Amino acid sequence: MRIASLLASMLLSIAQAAAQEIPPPDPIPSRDGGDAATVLTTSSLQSSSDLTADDVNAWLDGYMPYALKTGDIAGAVVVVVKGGEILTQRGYGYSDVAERKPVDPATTLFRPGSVAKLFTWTAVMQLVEQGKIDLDADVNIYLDFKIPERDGKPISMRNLLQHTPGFEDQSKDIMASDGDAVPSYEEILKRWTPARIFPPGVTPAYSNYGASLAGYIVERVSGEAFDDYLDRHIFAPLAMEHSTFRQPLPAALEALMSKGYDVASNEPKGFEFVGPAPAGSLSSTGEDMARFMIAHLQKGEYDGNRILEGATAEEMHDSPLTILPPLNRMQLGFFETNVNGRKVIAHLGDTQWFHSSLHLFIEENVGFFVSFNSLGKGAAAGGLRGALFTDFAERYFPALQSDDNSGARIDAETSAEHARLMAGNWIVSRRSATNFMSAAAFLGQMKISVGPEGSLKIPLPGLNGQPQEWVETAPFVWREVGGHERLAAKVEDGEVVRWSIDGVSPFMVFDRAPWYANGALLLPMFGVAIAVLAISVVLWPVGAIVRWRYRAASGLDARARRARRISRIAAIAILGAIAGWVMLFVMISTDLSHLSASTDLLLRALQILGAVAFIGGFLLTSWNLFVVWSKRPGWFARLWSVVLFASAAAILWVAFVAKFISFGVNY
Amino acid sequence: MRSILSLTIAMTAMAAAPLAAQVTAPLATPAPMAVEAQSRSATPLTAADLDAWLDGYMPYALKTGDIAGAQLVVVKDGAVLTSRGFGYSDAEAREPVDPAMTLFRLGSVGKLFTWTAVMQQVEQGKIDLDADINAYLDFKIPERDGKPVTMRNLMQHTPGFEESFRNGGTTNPEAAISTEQWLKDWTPKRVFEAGVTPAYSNYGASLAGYIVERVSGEPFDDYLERHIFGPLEMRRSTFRQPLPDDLAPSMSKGYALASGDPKDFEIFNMAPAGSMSSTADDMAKFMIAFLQDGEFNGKRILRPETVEMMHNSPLTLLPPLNRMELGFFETGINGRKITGHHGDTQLFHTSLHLLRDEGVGFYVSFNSTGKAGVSGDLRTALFDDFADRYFPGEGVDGRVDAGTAAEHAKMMAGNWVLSRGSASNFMNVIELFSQFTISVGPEGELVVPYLGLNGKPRDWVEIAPFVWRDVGGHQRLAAQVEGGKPVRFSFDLVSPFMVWDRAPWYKNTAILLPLFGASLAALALTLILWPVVAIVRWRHKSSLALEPRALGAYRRSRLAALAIILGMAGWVGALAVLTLDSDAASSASDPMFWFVQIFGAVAFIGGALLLLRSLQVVWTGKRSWFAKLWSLVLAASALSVLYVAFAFKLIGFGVNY
Repeated sequence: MRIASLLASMLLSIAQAAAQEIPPPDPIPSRDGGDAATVLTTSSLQSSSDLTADDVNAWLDGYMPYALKTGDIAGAVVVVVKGGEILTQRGYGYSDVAERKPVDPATTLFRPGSVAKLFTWTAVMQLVEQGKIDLDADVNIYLDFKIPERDGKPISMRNLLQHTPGFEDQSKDIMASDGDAVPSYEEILKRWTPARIFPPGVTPAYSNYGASLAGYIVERVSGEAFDDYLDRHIFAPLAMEHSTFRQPLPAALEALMSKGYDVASNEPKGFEFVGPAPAGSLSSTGEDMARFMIAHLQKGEYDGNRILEGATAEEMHDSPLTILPPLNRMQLGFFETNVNGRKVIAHLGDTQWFHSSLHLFIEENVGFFVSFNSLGKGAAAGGLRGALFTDFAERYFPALQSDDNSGARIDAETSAEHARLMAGNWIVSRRSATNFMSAAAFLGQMKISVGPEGSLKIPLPGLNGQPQEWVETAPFVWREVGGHERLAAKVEDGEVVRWSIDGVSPFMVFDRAPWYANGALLLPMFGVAIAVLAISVVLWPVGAIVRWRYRAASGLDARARRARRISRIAAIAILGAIAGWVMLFVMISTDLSHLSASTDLLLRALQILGAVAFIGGFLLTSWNLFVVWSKRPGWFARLWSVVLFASAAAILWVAFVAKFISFGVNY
Repeated sequence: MRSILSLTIAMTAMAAAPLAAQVTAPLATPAPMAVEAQSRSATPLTAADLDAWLDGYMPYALKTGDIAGAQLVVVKDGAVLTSRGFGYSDAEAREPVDPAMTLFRLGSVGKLFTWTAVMQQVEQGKIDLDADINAYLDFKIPERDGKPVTMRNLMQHTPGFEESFRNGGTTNPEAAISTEQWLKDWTPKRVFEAGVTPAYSNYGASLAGYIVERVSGEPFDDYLERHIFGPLEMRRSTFRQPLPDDLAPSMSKGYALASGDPKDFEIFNMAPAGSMSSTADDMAKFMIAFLQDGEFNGKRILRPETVEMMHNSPLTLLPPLNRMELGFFETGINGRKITGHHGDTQLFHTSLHLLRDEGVGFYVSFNSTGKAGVSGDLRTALFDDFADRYFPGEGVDGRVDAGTAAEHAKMMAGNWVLSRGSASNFMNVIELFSQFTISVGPEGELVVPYLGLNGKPRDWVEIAPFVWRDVGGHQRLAAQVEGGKPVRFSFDLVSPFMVWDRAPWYKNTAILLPLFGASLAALALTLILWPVVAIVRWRHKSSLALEPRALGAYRRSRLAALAIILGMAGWVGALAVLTLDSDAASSASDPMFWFVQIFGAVAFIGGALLLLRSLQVVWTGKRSWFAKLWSLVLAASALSVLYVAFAFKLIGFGVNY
């Protein structure tokens, strides 16, 4: 179970593990009461602080070192731009722990992960300006292979920019440690098109495949290799000399690359090769990212060079797709991370080890970029990234007007009724559907329940590791008490059918798990079934030994003995198959580079042996059931044969639902 | 088992236990990045810079640590530079911490007031620091090796008392007793010679408070109000428990975790050792008075030479580590002389530091223990980082060559016992689970179970013979060598008041603990299989084919195993009660401890005798080799348990602890 949820969050990689990182309540800095009778003077804080280099430097110097140390994170870079200039760029900790090499914001390369998509989208929009791409045309007109229709509808470039092509997830070769083994992104695109599981334009389901497709279209319509295109049309005009999508890194940059860590106290990991490169293969420095932020904040212009027309930049920043109001929405490539009633557009990015975010306060002309080079203890970097940004916003850009309806409350009775309507198991829209990776979404279903006093209970821990408190501020809109996160649900015919939270709503939603795949029922059933089979297997030799010790016969005829033996062997086979799948998922969740051809053989073996074990085991326990009921008198033996049969049946059911029974090495 | 008992230490060591809990449980402080800070140039200490820095530091630290709130004050050049509250004094009501108004518990930082009162009496000639304290008492502290205890010993935590837990504190005002009664009920055993072994003592500090009361003729609380709080205008400070009505509403709630329920107000019968409640702004006045050589706002609480004496009367035991002064202890960092005190109640965690040469004082208090006890680590990290930012140092460590360092690490390896602990009573069992094991890593490095902020062991390098530094951090570990062998060590964090000595062979848990565990497992297994085998036998209609003598021995041995397991379960239960209920270390638990002691003694001794008898029967009868072997295992197990029970005082009679 824990493995499964870990896996689910790892697979969100490149997108974001945003579901894990709800920023918790902000303690209110207290105003000083003063003590006029004495010589003492005390400072009192203003409601907001001026965003100056001195202030933000001291603030970050307070924030970062303890956060990195306790989180076991090796290093980080933070950049703040304001009014077209770099206000500050700071390195914290180490780019190489063993060498104690400090992070240099100007020259140390980090992996921004999916933040890189903003470059791909910018390239797309340059070609839109040139009339070479139509945002609303069928993407097939730009391709040399075909994306199939769904319900007669094609996919448009706008769908790709807004993560609504409706693709299931594509995860093979997402992250490789061996540069020679990873196929080109073109090959990944062409060898398998993920199933279109939603109609286009209506269901956000984050898609690296889609972003990669957009990059391929840039390459095709521009006639330039993707990497060359970026060098010429984005990195060069922005003087981003330490930035590239190329993998492996060019020799000149290689020495500057920060090591990546799971935790700083362990050995560093190798360079990550992102398979769907346009979705996230960028390597860059804090200072280079500052230039990109300035260009977007200045509507496409940086230091006299223009990468986008003003109108195009504005179109990217303000073309919302509203799906679950009032939650954050997808724009064109950017998504909203609005805070305190202010418009903030952003992107987050996660490789396995690097965790980054970029936020643009459009009205305030302020940009904020941070990247961590380690996952951290308990995946600390994700929570820290979210907290750092909201605390930054809280300090320098407090609420303009109340954006949280903090006074507003739905009455307790209605609220409890709504919470009841929310209860149940939900499945995330970004998921695999046709292959074994479906297991991740199945095992990672989000369970909402109703707490005491009718409160909403959601398994999203805050920074303290505890579930947060939610209050309903408008019908079917909840706010995290003391925090910024909102949850909103869509109601159809009096039933809640979909919900999301601000942190992921632009690109992921949760829909009800169908009854036949509902983990609330299936997972406990699955657990009990495994326990039953395990007990049968363990007691088999124990019983034999005891019988031998007391020279007792089993009193069974040959057929019954054979049925017993075979049913026990079936139990062993089923347990073995489950252990094999668990092992595979543990391998994957430890290192995503196992999602590659190197695992094909193991995967095929598991698929075949697993199917034999699950289906064969079910048949054999059925036969045992028949033999026992037709032969044996003992009520216990009869009962146990039923329990065994039911267990094998339950496991078979789960194996179908989670697609453990499915064949092929495309996923 | 291990965690229950280490928790026992943490929970019961409370009021005053600065860091005892941290040292036995994983301790922590700085970590890798301090080196960088050290080489950085100083940032000028201004209110604007400090406020921004704290605003960055504290909220995330509190949130991730599940700490409800904190208050902090920094004074400089005789005035408050900044006084801040973070988080909540009441998490449920979202009541923010106000550094001027909200009261926190100081724990042992309160001792500094007791020591100040003592020194006022020394100034008046009413107390002689080096006289036998029996001269001031109406009861007698016994001699040890012909030597009395002096007031200086009390102020330096070297009276050599063992630990005392019973009736130290409660949350039930009805159950509270006076400090005088607590002191007179039982005097902990003097386990070390006076003046040579630091062993933190709340009993000693309480004794000092009682002496102030006796020589001044004023009740302790009145004395403090007239002679310290009054002149310092500390209007929101008191040692009184429960709090006076005008202060009670301003008291911060105390939490184990901010996400849990608040806990009740803690009452310390050992009041002079740590019953104080105060605000950050009041504590600023106390720090200013000490930074101004005893004078605050025209009033004087101590003469300059007395203040100097309190800060500069070092007792050097493990150079170059931090030392005890008179009441204050050193918390030096970056080559600077810093004096201060830490304080821990079960819920509040506090520290106070004075940089006298720089005219700066730093005080912080947290109202929650936090996730995994993080507020102790946070407290240390916050001050280290403050010092690194505003008062960095230049010093460069030396390095002992690798071969010698590996040799020295090997010499350090083994089990060590903390000087602060119970010796004469059953609480000595804590030692069974808390010996400090130093080992040698693969590259000859020292491996010490004292974890960094990241939860991993620190990297120690030897910077001078038998002096190690936490790489990139501030902590040093130093050992005292006698006859070529290290015999004692400590860390900077606790060296002024606690040291570790070698565990004697007969109490070395490196062997005893596995033996004890295996013995209990053998006995428990025997017990569990007894009915299982009986059922199987009945199922197969087989009988236990033993002659009457052997059958009797078989049954008696099972009953003996049952008795021993129950005897141990009794102790586990009783110690669990102590751990889980902070009020349980009181007279009310006496019957429980009488019961488990007597039952345990009968079970351990009787069980061992029965199993020895059964061993004899089995070996003289015609039994299988397995039966013979197992009877041997059982007898050995019973003897092991009996030995451990004797060695760690589970067999003993009395409820003073």
